Amino acid sequence: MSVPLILVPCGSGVATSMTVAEKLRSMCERRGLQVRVETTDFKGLQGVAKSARLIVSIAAYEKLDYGVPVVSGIPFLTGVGIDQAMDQIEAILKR
Amino acid sequence: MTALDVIKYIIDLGPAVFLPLVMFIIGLGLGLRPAKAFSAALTLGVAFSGIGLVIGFMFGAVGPAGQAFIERTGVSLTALDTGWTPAAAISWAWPYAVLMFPLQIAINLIMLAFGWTQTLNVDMWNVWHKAFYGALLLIMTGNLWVSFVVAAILVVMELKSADYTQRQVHKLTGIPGISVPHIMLLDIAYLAPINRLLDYIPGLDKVNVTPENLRARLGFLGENHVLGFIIGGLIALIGGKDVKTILATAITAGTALLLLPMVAKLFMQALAPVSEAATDFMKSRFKGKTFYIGLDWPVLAGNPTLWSAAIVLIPVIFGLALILPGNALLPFGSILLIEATIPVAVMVGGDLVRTIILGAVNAATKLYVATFFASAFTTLARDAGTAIPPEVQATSWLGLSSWGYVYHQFAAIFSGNFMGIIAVAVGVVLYWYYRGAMKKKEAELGQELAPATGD
Repeated sequence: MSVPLILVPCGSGVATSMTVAEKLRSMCERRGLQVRVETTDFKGLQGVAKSARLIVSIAAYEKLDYGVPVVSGIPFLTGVGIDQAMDQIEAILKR
Repeated sequence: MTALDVIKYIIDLGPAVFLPLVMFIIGLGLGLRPAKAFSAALTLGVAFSGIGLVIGFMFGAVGPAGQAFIERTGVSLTALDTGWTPAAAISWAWPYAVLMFPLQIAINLIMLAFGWTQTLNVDMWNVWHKAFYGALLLIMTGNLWVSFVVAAILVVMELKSADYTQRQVHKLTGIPGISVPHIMLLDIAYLAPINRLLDYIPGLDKVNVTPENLRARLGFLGENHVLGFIIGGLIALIGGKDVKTILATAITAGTALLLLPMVAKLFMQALAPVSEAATDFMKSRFKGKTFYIGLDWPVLAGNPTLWSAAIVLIPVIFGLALILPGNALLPFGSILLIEATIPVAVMVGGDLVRTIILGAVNAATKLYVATFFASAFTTLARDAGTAIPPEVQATSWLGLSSWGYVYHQFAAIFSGNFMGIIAVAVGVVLYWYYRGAMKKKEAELGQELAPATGD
């Protein structure tokens, strides 16, 4: 089975998404979850969303349907609720 | 040889060589392993070289097309809009840029300790804006300490602005406990009175357009490569180039706009050790206290209004650039001008019609601001080692904040130009109005939202 992809979008795929992705990578490693984490931007997200198992978005409240589950990325920036977010991600990955 | 000579020699090596050296020392100072510090430092040099490469590639294609455009139309749009990535690159190339980290952190901690702000800014990426305006003003006025004063003022204004808009951000995102201390939002200060005037237009608020459909249908136009293809091709087309050249220009332009953020990622990678250390430091200092966590603007990006309005504004901005007298900016790299729509969307709470109208006003202002700073921007870009071909007379960035102009007038006072006091006075009055207008809005929202508490 191929390694599942997690997409992290932000404004340009440069700053915020990189911060979230870094944190996400190390958290996944700590839990022994094999994933690929890639950053992208919101403008291009619709085009590539389907290739991902899930999206970790700092704007998870948006109404656009990407066809894959979306988990909030805010905990990875603020540190609040990060374990719950990881539980959620783990549950989706093991589905 | 004195120590000063040594420093001068090192700086003269150019930012692609000089900054990795600085970065390596900082990395070691932060306790990184030498191998990791070396890798991060080298990444910074690579980022500079890489971004220079892509900018040169972009100029090579869009430059001649732009010149043909000027000759054929007779409209003198001599400054090519490069977008934000080169702006960030030339900011990091400023020898004093790294000092903006401690400056921002110190001011934020002091303001929190005295209760002058409720925002703890953990967004270390946008430190580059302070370096950007500092560097621009140093080129224009030659006064280093004024550059630092302006950078400090910008830090304070961003934090206050984040406080003013906190509930509005909460309402738009549904996320409690965060705020957005981004320079973009400062534009609300002068847009708020204009927004008030719009209240007098009967029926304006009855127009009901939902931004979601627009974004879902036309969103692809905002993708970097598509946008570059269209605008690059359009410039060549108006320039009267043959079909082959038009298509070649369009593809190259699309390539450049897609590659630029990819290369800019390297800056973030290289600066990660510094920004992580800074963020951890910030968080650890105020554990257990209540405040809002200041984040970068993309937390707002789930709001469809800012994208839809920016897409609608693409042809508008192009048209404005052509007809506004005195404008010299040829919009290209940042023609999807979210810098114009985001502050409005925050101010009006996502109302699409108002965001389009005020976004157009904001874009028009920004054309003039970008024109004003074109010469200094071009000098900075050259100093940073960017190869600018003769077809490109000047460059600038459409996303420049209107406050840049006020800061320049402020700096000019210290060079004996007392007319600058007028712009500064207007700026202060507008900022005060901003505070009042948002306070009213925030009080209304306070009833609506559950009490917003931070970590």
